[in-house]
Amino acid sequence: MNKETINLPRLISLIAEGASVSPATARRFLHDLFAYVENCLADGETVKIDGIGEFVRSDDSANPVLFKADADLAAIANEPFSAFSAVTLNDDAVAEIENVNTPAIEQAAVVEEQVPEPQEDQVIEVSEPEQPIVSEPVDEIEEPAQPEAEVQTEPIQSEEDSVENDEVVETAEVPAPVVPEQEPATAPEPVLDEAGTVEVAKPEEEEEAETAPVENGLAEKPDDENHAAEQKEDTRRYAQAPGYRKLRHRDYSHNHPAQSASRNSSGHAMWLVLGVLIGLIIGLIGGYFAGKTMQAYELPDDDTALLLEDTDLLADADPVQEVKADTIPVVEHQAVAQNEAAEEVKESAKPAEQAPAKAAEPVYDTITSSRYLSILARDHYGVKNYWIFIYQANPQLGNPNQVRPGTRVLIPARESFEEATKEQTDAKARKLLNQLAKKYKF
Amino acid sequence: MLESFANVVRNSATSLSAVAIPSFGTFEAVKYDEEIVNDRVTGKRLLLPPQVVVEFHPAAMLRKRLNKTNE
Repeated sequence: MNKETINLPRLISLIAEGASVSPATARRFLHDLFAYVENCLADGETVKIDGIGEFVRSDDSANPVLFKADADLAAIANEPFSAFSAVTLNDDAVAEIENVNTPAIEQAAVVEEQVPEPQEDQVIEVSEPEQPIVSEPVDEIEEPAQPEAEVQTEPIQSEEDSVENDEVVETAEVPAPVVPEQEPATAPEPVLDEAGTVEVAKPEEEEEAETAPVENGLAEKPDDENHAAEQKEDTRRYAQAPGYRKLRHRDYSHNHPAQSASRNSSGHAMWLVLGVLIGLIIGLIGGYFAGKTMQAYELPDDDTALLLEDTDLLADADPVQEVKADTIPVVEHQAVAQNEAAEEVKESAKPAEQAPAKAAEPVYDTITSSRYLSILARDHYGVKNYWIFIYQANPQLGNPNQVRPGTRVLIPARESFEEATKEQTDAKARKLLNQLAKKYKF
Repeated sequence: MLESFANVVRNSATSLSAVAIPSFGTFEAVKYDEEIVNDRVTGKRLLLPPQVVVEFHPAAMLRKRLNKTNE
């Protein structure tokens, strides 16, 4: 705090000036006075100085002197706030007060910082000619304080009104050049006409000047309750006090429940969005790599080709039947025996074309995570157990339970391992399986 | 002379400044903000208005001397 302290030399000079005595006398007077007071206090007596207050001796060693200011002095010191008394609040009034106080006080603080110097001069010019006209019997003490209060209140009120309607502020600035041109006696009249709500109240008494804008504020905000209005009025009056400028501007936003809640919620939302974004990014990256590795296992380039080969095989099987179907109408005209013969001819003709093709190009297939040896065997031979023959045809496989996906295996032709009967083939498969089971212990 | 001193203190109080008297103490005008106080007796909440109070802080020398005489 930049609190001004009057030190001893200045105090002495002030006293000497005020009482029109020599500084040396003032110094001696002060010395004697406080030496006397101290002596009395040391004896445990109470000292009362008129116009200053009472000094009372206390037993508290940390604060051995209690001072009670004279009623007169206390009243003068507290003069800016003397209009107020303690107000009893309703239980549910706290939220309202905080709502009302916070914007008003913050606004006032901001306005005081923003008020340009020339504007204050303008207001002083306007208010000075008023006083002779009004010619109110005002106390001597209040008179010097009044212009100061005016200077502070006027910009504040006009600023506050400017929040609600800008026109008033513009008109409020207009009268300043108007005043000096005209005679002081008539000056206030045009000012009144031109200026809006704020200036109308000016020539009237101070109390009205204070209440009029407040009432305007009330009218424009009908949902404010009476209590809230009182609080608003209070805060504006506080703003007039000379000491208000030194009032440390509290950060009310911390105490404001609604504001802090909204801030918190917005913070939460921000974190939520941030978390979701991070999750998305991680998921995308992870999915990309996982997909890449899965692709490497599942769909090597030749896999699709082999699948096409499979379908070719199926297609190879189908034409035979189609051919049969085609031949049937042809054959119908002939005898049954002829029919059979024709079929044989056709069948022998077709496989004759296909068999060399099959024998020529060996069938390959690729093991994937979903198509392993037994599935391949089922697909190619119709019997799951015949995977052992596929395994035998591919000696590079190693442990049949640990074949890596993507391994390309040769599918041996059925004739290469098939025995005369199915039972024999099954037995052979079982025997081979046993051997394999012994080898790899499964 | 006493009156002029009282005047000085009064003026300093109105301007929220302090008057320091060496080896005796400081007269200081302190502004208290408005506050909400719970009345313990009635349980009501009171809004106290802001106020300026003239306080006196005894100087360290005075405290020491007075405490010495107390013993």
